[in-house]
Amino acid sequence: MTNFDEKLKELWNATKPELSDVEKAALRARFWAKMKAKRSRLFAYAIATAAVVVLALVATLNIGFHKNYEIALPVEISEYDLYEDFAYVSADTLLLQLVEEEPDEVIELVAEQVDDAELLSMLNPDEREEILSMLENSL
Amino acid sequence: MKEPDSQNEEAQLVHKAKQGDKEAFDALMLMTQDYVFRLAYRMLDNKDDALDVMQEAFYRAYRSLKSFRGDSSFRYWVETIATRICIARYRKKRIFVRIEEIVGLGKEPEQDNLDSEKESKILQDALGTLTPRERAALVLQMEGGKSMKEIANTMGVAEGTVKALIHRAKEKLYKKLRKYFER
Repeated sequence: MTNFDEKLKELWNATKPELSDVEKAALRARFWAKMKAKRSRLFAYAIATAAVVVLALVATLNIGFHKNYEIALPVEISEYDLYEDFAYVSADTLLLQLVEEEPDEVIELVAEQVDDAELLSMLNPDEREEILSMLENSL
Repeated sequence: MKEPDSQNEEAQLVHKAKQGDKEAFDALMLMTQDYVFRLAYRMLDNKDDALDVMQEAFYRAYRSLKSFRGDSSFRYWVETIATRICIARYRKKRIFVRIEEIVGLGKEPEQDNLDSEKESKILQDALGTLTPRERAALVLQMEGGKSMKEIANTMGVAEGTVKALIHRAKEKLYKKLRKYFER
């Protein structure tokens, strides 16, 4: 076995793996880059954790949200956003788009919503007089 | 065995690194990376795997540097970390190699051009017959020139176990390499 040990040692030394200087430098550079990335992730995680803790505390303590109706809840924010989306679209465009989609349904819906008194108030005096005279004649 | 000056230098670097001096830790990596690389390469037969192990070993060392009391050398400490990572990886690797053999996906024999590459392949094939612990014990002895007691401490096993592991490892290598040596 002694002879074998010597030969094994020779083979071992003849096949010694080596790293080049460039590989060594690259290895250390990668190490520090990895450390930096881990630290950044850790920092982001710490901030996220802190935010979750604060939100959980606020939710647990129920700090006055239910009493203050001016504070928008997420659903209301969503509706508000929806309103904002349509705020800059003209009523004609909206109506046209709706009528083109389902004309009968929209017309029926509008008719149901409009009050007779409101409809009369929208008329100018001449139109109102004309309608009244038409009603008198028909009666 | 390290020279006293080298030991002092290492102790100073460890002290500075513990204070958060990155350059000091970089210097410690520089001092030990050749040895750790050879150790990992001999265990895993693959440069990329060896580099991965080095990264992980240095990362673990850096993270737990404050708990390093300096009873042993920094090199020994990193070597212990790297050895344990290597044993775990080699164990997994052997399972995958075995599965590949069973389903017939084993690697085609590579064409080695240089004599040194052929020799490396012969040694790697022979080392591939060893169990993870046999291989780790042998690599620590051959690469680090360590005593049985030191290997036992690094691997966290009894000295008698190391003797048995190395004996079995050499018997297996003898069977594989005998014909090559007799040429």
